[in-house]
Amino acid sequence: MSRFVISLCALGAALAVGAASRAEDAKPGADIALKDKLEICSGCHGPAGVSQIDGVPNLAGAPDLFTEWQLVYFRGETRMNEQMTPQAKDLTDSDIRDMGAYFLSLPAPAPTGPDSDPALTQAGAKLANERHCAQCHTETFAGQGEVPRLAGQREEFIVKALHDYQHGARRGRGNVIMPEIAYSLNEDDIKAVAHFMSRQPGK
Amino acid sequence: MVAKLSRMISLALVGAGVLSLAALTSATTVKAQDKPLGHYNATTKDFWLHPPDDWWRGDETEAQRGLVPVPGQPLPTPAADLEKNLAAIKLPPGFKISVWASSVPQARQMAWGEKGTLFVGTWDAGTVSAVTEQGGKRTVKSVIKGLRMATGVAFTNHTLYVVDIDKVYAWENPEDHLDNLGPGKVVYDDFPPYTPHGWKYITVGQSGELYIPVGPPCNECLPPSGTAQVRRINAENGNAELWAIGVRNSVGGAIDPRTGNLWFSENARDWLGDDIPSDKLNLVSKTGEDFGYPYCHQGDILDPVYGKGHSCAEFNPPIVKLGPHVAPLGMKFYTGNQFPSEYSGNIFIAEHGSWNRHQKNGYRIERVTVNPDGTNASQEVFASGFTDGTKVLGRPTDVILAPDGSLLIADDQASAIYQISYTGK
Ligand code: HEC
Ligand code: HEC
Repeated sequence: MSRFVISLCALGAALAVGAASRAEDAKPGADIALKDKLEICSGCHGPAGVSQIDGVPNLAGAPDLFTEWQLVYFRGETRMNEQMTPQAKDLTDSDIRDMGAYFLSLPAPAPTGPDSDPALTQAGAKLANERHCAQCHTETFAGQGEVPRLAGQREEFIVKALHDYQHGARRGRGNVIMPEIAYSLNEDDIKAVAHFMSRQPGK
Repeated sequence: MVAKLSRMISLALVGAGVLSLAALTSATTVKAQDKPLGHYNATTKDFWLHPPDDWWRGDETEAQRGLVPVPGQPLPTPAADLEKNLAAIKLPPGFKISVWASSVPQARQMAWGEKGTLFVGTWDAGTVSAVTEQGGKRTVKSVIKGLRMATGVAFTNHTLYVVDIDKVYAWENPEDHLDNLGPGKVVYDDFPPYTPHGWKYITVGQSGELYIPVGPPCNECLPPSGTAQVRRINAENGNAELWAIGVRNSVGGAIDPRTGNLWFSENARDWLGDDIPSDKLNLVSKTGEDFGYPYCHQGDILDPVYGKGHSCAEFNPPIVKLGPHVAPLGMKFYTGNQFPSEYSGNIFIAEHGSWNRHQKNGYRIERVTVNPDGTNASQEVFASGFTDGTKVLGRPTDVILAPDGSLLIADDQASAIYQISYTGK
């Protein structure tokens, strides 16, 4: 929780202003309500859509349709998460469209610092290649359409997402794609691919 | 032929031992494909819950990298934009198209209740919508929720039927209590539980029987027992018959009012190329006919792997080759009297549109003229313009006649229903 507070106070004050003005770009003449809603989002997802909290995904640079679909799932309670599902309850269709455009417009997070485990990165790259992850997530793993950006996503969140698909806690688009893909990954695969994806610059 | 199919399926689960999707593997086919075939074990429960994921990819060539399913539209297209989109739709002279209902989530198969309600299935929203009309105003409401993939809906014998992957649910006299339909009664549960190609369509036969296809859990494989077929189901007693075999992914069918025979649309395999194989319109004239999957595609192309040792002459050819990757879904015979008389008995087919192809194909309503026995078939485009080649404005999923003889079209991309009428102007 302490990190949560830090992100709200230290980063929030400075960057929330920037976030709000970009939101206006996303929807010319956006009303106050959308700004306010985005400020709530930034409390967890970080003011520039880059999260500082374990278990909370980065949203910056996410494909617009992906963000929209997930918000529709949270709002319709077909994707359940204690923290996130209630946040989407009162979003309107136009909020959701605007948020899709807004998060896509934010610069995607780039990994910083030296790789803590280059061998793991290599194992992840090999697996991603063998399992054709790029077919949908694109060659740079920046994602497209309804397919999320994996490049630069938080490592522990990718692990959690793959576990959720495996256990049926999350089904996602078409109910079918990721649950079946994740099902046959073992723990080592998941660790490796998550580490690799989180290290990709994904322009 | 009559059999409760649970026994067949449990055979695959328990008895078949070495039934594997790669049973045909031989040194020569491996060389032809230049890589080993996958080897699957259909004897485990796991297989039926989580079939291998390689139907999405695996076969693609370098040129096919990046071909992915068309992204769905998360939110309904606003009514004002729908009107604009329809200006791009091309129709034969004398016909016009208008928005009949907007914000119908992921509209798939449609069925009329007996009191004027239009029931509409969905995709992964897992809901069924009811469109009702009062004082000239239409209202759309989700009346069934919490299903996995409620693609197929039908209405017969005062009962609404919904097929959801592995179960058929029934609601008697649903229009008397639309606000509180309850969970529905399971009248058939003998389908496999997997999702890939698990979404279904219901065609109602002339005595109320339900024809329902069962797709294989793969792009191209030796189908596990009990799959790649169409079953005829008696919803009163839960018995099923095999009606057609060798069927890949079928999500559309209609009964010829002239003969009572089942016709169905079929989506052919992916990854063979932009221009092959063609999707199909099939006619079942004898119970149990084999339509060729996975050995022969479009009636005249042997599969490069599974076709070894077979000839296309062993199988029922399609009546019409609808075109590569057009994705034919729902269909109906025209039995109304609003359209000019030459449309009488024609088949209208909704083509969802391609993804496994570089240039878009389909995204239209096709018209087929054909004799009851399948001879003298011809096809032409009836309504097109749902894509400009890049942007997708809509994806037709089903057609149904309105009481006035106009044609309604469901669109799961724009989440809307359109109406095509003949005005002669
Ligand atoms: C209380 C903290 C919190 C707030 C506030 C919050 N979120 Fe979230 N959000 C989460 C968590 C946690 C997840 C991960 C859910 C999971 O594990 O499935 C998430 C997931 C998401 C996702 C899915 C991303 C992915 O990659 O899977 C989107 C999109 C999203 N949030 C958007 C928003 C928006 C828009 C708002 C503001 C309206 C918002 N969130 C407010 C905590 C929060
Ligand atoms: C056939 C297309 C396809 C392929 C191949 C594919 N994915 Fe996905 N992936 C998707 C789609 C679509 C989603 C969004 C699903 C949803 O709505 O939850 C997704 C979501 C994800 C997510 C959730 C991310 C988030 O922010 O919530 C992860 C992690 C993921 N994929 C990892 C992988 C990995 C690792 C591979 C290769 C082993 C892979 N994917 C291969 C289509 C694909």
